[in-house]
Amino acid sequence: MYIYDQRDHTLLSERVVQFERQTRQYLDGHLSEDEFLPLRLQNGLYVQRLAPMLRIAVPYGMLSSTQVRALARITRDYDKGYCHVTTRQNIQLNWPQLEEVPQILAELSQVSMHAIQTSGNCIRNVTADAFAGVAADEIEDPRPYCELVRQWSTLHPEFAFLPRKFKIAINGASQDRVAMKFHDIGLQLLKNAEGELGFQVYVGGGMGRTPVVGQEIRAFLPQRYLLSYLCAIVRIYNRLGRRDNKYKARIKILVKAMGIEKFRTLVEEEWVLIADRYSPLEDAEITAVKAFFTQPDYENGSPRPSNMVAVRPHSDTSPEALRALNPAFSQWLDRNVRDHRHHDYAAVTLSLKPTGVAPGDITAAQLDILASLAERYSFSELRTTHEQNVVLADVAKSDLFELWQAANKAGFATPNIDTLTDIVCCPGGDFCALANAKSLPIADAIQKTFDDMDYVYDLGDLSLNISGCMNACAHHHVSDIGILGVDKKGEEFYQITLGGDDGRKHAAIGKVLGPASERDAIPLVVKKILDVFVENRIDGESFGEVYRRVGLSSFKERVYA
Amino acid sequence: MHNSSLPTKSSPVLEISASGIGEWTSDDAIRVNDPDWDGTVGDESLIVFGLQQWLDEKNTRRFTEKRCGLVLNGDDDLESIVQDLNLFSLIVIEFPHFTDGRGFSVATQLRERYQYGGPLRASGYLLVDQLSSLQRCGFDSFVFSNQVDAIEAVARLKGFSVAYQPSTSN
Repeated sequence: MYIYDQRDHTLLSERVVQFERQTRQYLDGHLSEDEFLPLRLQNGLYVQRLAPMLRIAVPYGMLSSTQVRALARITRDYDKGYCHVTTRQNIQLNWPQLEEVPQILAELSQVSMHAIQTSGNCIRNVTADAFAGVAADEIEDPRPYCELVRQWSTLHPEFAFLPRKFKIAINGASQDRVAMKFHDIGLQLLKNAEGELGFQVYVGGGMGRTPVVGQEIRAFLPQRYLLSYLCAIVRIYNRLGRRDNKYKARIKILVKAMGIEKFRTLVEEEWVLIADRYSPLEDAEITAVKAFFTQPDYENGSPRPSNMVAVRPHSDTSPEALRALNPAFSQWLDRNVRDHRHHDYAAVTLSLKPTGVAPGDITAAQLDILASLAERYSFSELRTTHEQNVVLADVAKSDLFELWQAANKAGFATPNIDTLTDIVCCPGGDFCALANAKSLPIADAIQKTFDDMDYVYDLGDLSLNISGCMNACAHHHVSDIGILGVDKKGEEFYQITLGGDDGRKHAAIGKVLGPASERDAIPLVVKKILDVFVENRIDGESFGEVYRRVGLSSFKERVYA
Repeated sequence: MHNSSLPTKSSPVLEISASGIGEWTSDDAIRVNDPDWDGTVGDESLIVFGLQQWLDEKNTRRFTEKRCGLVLNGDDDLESIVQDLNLFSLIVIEFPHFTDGRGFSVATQLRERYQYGGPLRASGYLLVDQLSSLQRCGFDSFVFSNQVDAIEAVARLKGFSVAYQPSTSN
């Protein structure tokens, strides 16, 4: 993964000093609440319902075991011993003290981490596929480009006060696993007819209260122009995006209002003038960053602590042979282990969704275990996923059984990845000041209702996402079943959407099923929806396929009968 | 009053630049629509126009011999004054509020896209923590509609010692 150089370290340490000073000026009364607001937001600090919330950046989801140990320590020392993995691959602390945040940032900087631009009206953490670099369907590893975008967007002098937040995702595989078309800018790596690498560029996608599928602004952008093209898009948005109404301030509204053709014309006019002057990416620069994302030493395996016997990746302990002996292991192989580009390796998803735990939450003790597992089984690296789980991307197949046992002990082996109970969920009304309703108790109730794993497996891949308000942090618009918390005269109600897709199959926004239901009714509503699916499916159709074939009305009739 | 920080007869404004702390007075800059203005212009004075005033008056030759300045807002269309940029001794970009970042892009466009090489001033409600970024976008002086500590403002111009992006001001 990317290793900080002197420039990165200098910038980060100066940023820590700067924020320490800004916080002191605020606490001394030299900076007003209003003036401190954008400064703290650009350092990831929200003021929440019960305490501030600090969102720590995990650039495109990559973490080293050293960083995870530091997170464990910080979570223990400054918080209540747990943290939360977000749908944009970041880590949130729910209970830090404002006065201690500068110290937290100082400790993070020791392991090349920070909270820069994890909130505020600026360019946010760029996201990528958690299986980058190992996925069989990958066209090109997106991470070097993510890193280039991270550097370009970090403390960009022109773009710190945009009309609204701005999110970029880069997909390098043939399947979209980053919800590319639901970002302000989505980039698809691809090769043109001449074999040249570049990007298909989408703009104006988003979720929130006005979900929009992004539109193609450019079919092919040669890679050297990546940064100048991003610059042109963000500049046009910064100049023309609405600032009179925060609900209409995202780029999706601007693109919709003027139309993609007009927006494209403005961007291309700007870009033509800066394309060659605005430091085009030279091949050498791209190559230099790519050198950080080379393949690990697959032949010799993950280096072990010296007191352990090394197991060569291609030993005879085939996981397949152990299946018959251990059905639980077999289930885990089916749901949580994916094929890897290297035939002796697999990519493992550690589930942060056991029943009874808030989806995406992880304790300090678990973080320490996670760091050890990464060191022992996956070349000391791991990734956070946009579904709020953790991936060990490079596990030797011969280690799978041992890893499964260790993961099981630590609570990471729930075999539910991409199933109904792998619920994506925001912190909701229990923590978030913006929420209209709680989301965590709904997730818990659904997991408890659907505790028969045979039933859950029979449903196949199925996404269920729960957002506590229309800001849609849990991306409920783009899941098979979406649940949105709404406030009806002070009472918490929940609205269902069906048929969304984040782009894995074909990007679509879910449709509202009907009137919202009260909290206690939700598990039964979900059951009725699933019944319609199961009764109607033919030959292993997915939920989305059945939905598109039978339509919303079949579900509606059953739920509101 | 956060709307404008152009100096008036009664209230000069604090001016910060790389060369230090100064004062911008109505002797330096006369607003062409200032009701208190008696019509006289000193040799060193600027006559400052808004975009529309400039477009209305530029062909009247009323101020041909004088030094002219232009005040731009975030929503002004730069294309309409591209041909005139070299006529201005100063361009001022207004920031109605520090969260309104349009001026950062207006400045960058003036410098990069339209090759304006003259003095460029940011004016309005600005945070001192924005000064180094403003400078990197091409501004070379700053006037404030809010109260700022002049010494701190000069110190904040320096910003970080490293950056990932090339700077417009270089």
